[in-house]
Amino acid sequence: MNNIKKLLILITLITFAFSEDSLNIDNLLNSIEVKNDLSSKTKLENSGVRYIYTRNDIDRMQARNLKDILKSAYPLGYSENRYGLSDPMTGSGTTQPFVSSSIRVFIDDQEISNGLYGSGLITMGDMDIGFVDHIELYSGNPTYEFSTEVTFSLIKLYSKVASKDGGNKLLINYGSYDASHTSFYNSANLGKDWAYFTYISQNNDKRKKYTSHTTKLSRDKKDTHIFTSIYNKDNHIILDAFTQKRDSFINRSLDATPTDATMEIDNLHLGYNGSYNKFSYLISYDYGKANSNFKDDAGSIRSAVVNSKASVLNSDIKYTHESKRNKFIFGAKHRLKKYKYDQFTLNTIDVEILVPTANLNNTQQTINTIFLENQYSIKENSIITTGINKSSIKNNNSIQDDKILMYRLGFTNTNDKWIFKTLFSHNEKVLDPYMVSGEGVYITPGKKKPQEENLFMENISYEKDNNKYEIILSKLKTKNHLLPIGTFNNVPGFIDNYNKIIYIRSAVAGYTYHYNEYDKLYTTVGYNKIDNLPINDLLKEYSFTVLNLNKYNSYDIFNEFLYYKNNIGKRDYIDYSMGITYHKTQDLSISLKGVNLLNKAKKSNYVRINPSNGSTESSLSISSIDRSITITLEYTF
Amino acid sequence: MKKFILLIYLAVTVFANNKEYELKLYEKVLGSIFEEEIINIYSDEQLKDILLKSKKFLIVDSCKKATVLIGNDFKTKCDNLPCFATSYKMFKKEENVIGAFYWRKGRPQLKLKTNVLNKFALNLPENLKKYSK
Repeated sequence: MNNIKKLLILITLITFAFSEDSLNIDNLLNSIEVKNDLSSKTKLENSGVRYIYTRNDIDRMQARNLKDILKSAYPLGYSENRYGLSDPMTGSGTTQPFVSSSIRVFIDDQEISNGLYGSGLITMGDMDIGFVDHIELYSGNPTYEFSTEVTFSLIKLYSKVASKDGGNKLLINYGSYDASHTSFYNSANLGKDWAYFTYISQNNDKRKKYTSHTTKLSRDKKDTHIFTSIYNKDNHIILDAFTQKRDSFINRSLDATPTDATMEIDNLHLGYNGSYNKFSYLISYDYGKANSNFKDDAGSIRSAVVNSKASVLNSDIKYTHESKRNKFIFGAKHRLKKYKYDQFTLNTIDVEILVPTANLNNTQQTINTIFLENQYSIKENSIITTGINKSSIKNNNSIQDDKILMYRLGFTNTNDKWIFKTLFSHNEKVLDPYMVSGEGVYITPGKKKPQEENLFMENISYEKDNNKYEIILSKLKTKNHLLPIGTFNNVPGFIDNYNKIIYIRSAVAGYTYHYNEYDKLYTTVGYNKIDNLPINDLLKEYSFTVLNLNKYNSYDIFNEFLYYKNNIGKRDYIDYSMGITYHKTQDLSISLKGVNLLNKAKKSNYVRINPSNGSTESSLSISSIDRSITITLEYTF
Repeated sequence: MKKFILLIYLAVTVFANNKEYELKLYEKVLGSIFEEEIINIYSDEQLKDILLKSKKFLIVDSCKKATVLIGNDFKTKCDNLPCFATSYKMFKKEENVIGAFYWRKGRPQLKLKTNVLNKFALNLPENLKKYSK
C-alpha cells in the first residue's frame, strides 16, 4: 500500500511540475538531441563489424579516457604492457615496447601514426577524449579506404563540431590517488561556412601503486593535450599535440624492481584532408619524440637510455566513381617514416657496440600502396564488396624489405529487420621500424617473413521494436606470427616468426533493449578459443558484459558489469563500474563515478625472473583498470 | 548507385525522424505564439524543405506577405516583422528576433524574448514561459 501511495505522489508531483505542453516541448528537444546522433552520418555501413559509442553513450558512461571505452571492446579489451603503455595485444612473456600496431587510431579521417612503433595507440590508448563526439570501432580490416597499413581493429574518434557544440565548456575532475583533470573547449562558426573546435586539457593521472618485492611500481602520467580542428564542408585541418611525462612501470627490469623508470613523450599531428568532385586527398605529418630512462640495481641491464625522434609523412589520393550498380574506389598512398635514436645505451654503452647486429643506421621506411575497392549491388538489398591492396615496404638500410598483398571479399544482405554480413580478408603485417632497427635487441637477427592472417567473419543482426539481437562468429588463422619465442646469444624473449599456425575462433552474442528513446540495456556474451599458442598451447576466454543507461528526472545513471575468465588462470574477473550525473541546470552538472568498484577487474600477468640465478619467480598479476572514484564538475557557457 | 541507399536505410530514417521532430517543434512553438490557423512564413532556403511539409505553415515567396520570418539570415526589407532565428548569432544580433531554435553547448536550445514579443503585441503563452529570457 505504501508503495502505491509513493507512486501516486510521484505521479502527482511530475504532473504538476510540468504542464503537458512544456513536457511535450521538452520531449521534442530530447528527441531532437538523441536523433541528431552524428554517428548515423559517419558510420561505414558496409565495412565489417562495428561498435558505435554515440555522444549520448559517452556522456552518460562518463567516459573521459579512451580506455573507458576500450576495456569492454570486442575482441581485445584493454591492457597495458611492462612499460605502462596501452598495448591490448601484449602477452605476459613479452618485453617488447609495443605489439599492437595493427590497432589503428584515427581522429576524423586522419590516422594518428607513430614513426617507430606504427600506431598512435601506444600513447593515445589512455588519452582523454573530451574533444570526441562519438567513437566507432571496427574489427577485421574494415576498408582499405582508411588503412594504409594492416588494420586488425580500427578506432575512429570523431571530434566535436561547432554546429552542435558552439560555445565553451569547462570540466574539472578530481579522484582517487589524488588524480585530477581539467579541460576546456571553445567552438564557433567563423563565417563563410568555416568553423572551428579547439580543446585543451591537463591531466594529472595518478594511479594505484603496486609493490614488487620492496619496489613501488608506478604508472602515473602527467600530460597536456591540445586539439584543434578547422573545417568547412570539403576541407578539414587537424592539429593534435600533447606532451606526457610518465612513470614506466616495470620497464626492462627482469624481477620488476626498477630503481628509476620514466618516460617523456612529445607528439604532434598536423593534417589536412579534403575533397573535390570525385577526388579526395589527405596529407598529414606526425612527429614524436620519446626519451626513456631506466635504472636497476640487479640483472644484466642496470641502466638503459633510449632517446628517439620519429616522423611520418603521409599522403593519400582517392578517386571514387559511382554507377547504377557499382561504387568503385581507386587509391594511392605514400607513407614515409623517418626515425633516429639520439641515444640508445645499455649500461651506458652504445647498443651498437654491445649488439653489433643492431642496425641503428636504418633510419627510414617507405611504404607505397595502391588499392582498388568495389561495391557491387546485386539487387536492391544485397551488396558484394571486393578489395585488393598492394604495398611495397622499403627500408634504407635493412634486409627486411617486403612486398605484401592483401585482399578482402564481403557480402551484405539486409531487409527491414535482418542484416547479414559475411567477410573474408587476407592481411599481411611486416615489422614495425623499431624492430627493423633492433635486430639482436628486439628481434632475432635475420630476415623475417610477413605475418599472415586469414579472417572469416559472419555477423547477423535482427532488430524489432525496442530489441536488437546480434551474433558475430569469426575464425582467424595466422601464419608466421611474430612472437617473443626466439633466443639470441642464449637469451630468450626475442621476436621471431612462429612456425605453427595459430587459430583464433570467436563467438559473440549481443542484445540491446531500448527502454525508451533515451535509456537502454546492452549486453554481450563472448567466447574465444586460441589454439597452438607457444607456452600454454590452448587459451579459452569467456566474457560477459552488461551496460545499463537510465535517466530519472535530472539524474543520469549508468551501470557497467564486465566479466572475464580464461582456462589458464581460471579466476573470475569482475569489473563493476557505476556513475550518476546530476544536472543542476542545463549548463551545470556534477557527476560521481566509481570504476572497478569490486577491485576484481581483469588482470595481466607480468613475468618476473630472478636476476641472480635466472629462475622464474611468481608473476605479478596487476589490472590495467584501477579501482577509483572520481567527482566531476562540468559547466557550459 | 541509387540502390545502395537501401543499405543506409536506418541512417536515413534517423535523419528523417530528426527533421520531423524539428518541424513538430516549430509547429508547436509558432502555433502557440501566433493564433492564426495557418501561419504565413518567409523562410531561408535551408529551412524551406522542412517547413513545406507542414499543414500549419504556408511558405510565401515575399516577406511582405509573411506573418513571421524564419531563418539564419534576414537580409530583407521587411524589418518591421518578427523573426524566429535558427542560429545563436542571429538570436543575439537581430533586434526583431522573438525567439530561436539552434544547437549550442552540445544540445538543441529553444529561447524566446518576452520584450520583443511584447513589442509586436504578441503574448508569451504559459507553456513557453520556461524558455523565455
